[in-house]
Amino acid sequence: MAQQAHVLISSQTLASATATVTFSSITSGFRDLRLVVAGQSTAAANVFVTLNGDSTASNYAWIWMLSNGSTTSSTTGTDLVFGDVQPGPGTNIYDFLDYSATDKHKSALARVSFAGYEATVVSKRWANTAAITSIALTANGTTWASGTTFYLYGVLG
Amino acid sequence: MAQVLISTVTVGAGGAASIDFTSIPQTYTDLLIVLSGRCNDGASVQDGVRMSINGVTTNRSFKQLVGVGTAATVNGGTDDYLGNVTGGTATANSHASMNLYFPNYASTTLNKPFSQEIVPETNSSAINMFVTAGLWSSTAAITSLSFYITGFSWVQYSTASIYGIK
Repeated sequence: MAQQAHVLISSQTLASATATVTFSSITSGFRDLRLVVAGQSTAAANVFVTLNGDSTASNYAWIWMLSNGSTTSSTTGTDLVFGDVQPGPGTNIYDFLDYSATDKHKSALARVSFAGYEATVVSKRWANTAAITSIALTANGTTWASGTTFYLYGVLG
Repeated sequence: MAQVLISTVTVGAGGAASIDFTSIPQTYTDLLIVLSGRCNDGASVQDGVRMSINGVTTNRSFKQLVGVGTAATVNGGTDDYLGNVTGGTATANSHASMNLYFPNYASTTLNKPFSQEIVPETNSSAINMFVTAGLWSSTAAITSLSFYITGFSWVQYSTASIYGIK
């Protein structure tokens, strides 16, 4: 079985509730990036992603498919939304594919898993050919809870 | 700092009631389990796969997004169900594929959420795919995992690997 290598680039564990967590100066030595968030928010919220500091909503597009255990839904949008976070234990796993390429828009996938609330899959596109050098995740209108962990891995390919 | 193979289990002739990982080292940040498996139920195209954690099947909850080929549906519960694996009436030699990810599995202060996807491969419309948000409400560090199909066995060549990530 082929072994896909994850290399830890940086990690953060929140000592207090924080609205935005940022990874900056991301190097270009990997094929993909994986960002694993484990924890929760202090209130239910959408997660906003900002890449390279670009907060122009129209530069981002997404499609979202969700099950909350009783209904399923699918939504699209053109803004910073990249999944959500809930006030119960869960995990958000973000994969940024071919993040250092300079000849294509950047696509990304999110798996949002909060057993008390939802299982969600999100596809995202950033309409920019620049290599991703920073990622900021914001719990929009609320905060990531203290103790939430953020691990950014480089994936060799 | 890497994704490190901890162990691989491959089911031998005669099958196995469960695929087990025991004495999981506590030296990584996260765990990834990759499974390719099929069960011996001769009457079904797919059967439910379950997971016990540290020998425990309680204090669990999950929400699922289920694709049935023509629509997306939902599921949820408070047991140890993960989704379905390929059953004995599925296309010969086809196996289900699963990824399961536990962040912070060695924590002794946090409950254990997990993210999981499984697709029981076969050339049949009567098959589903599952995306699961799961939770084990326990602060115990995860030291063992067992994957099983109630009333049936894994067939020969079913295999699973567990990776440590840090």
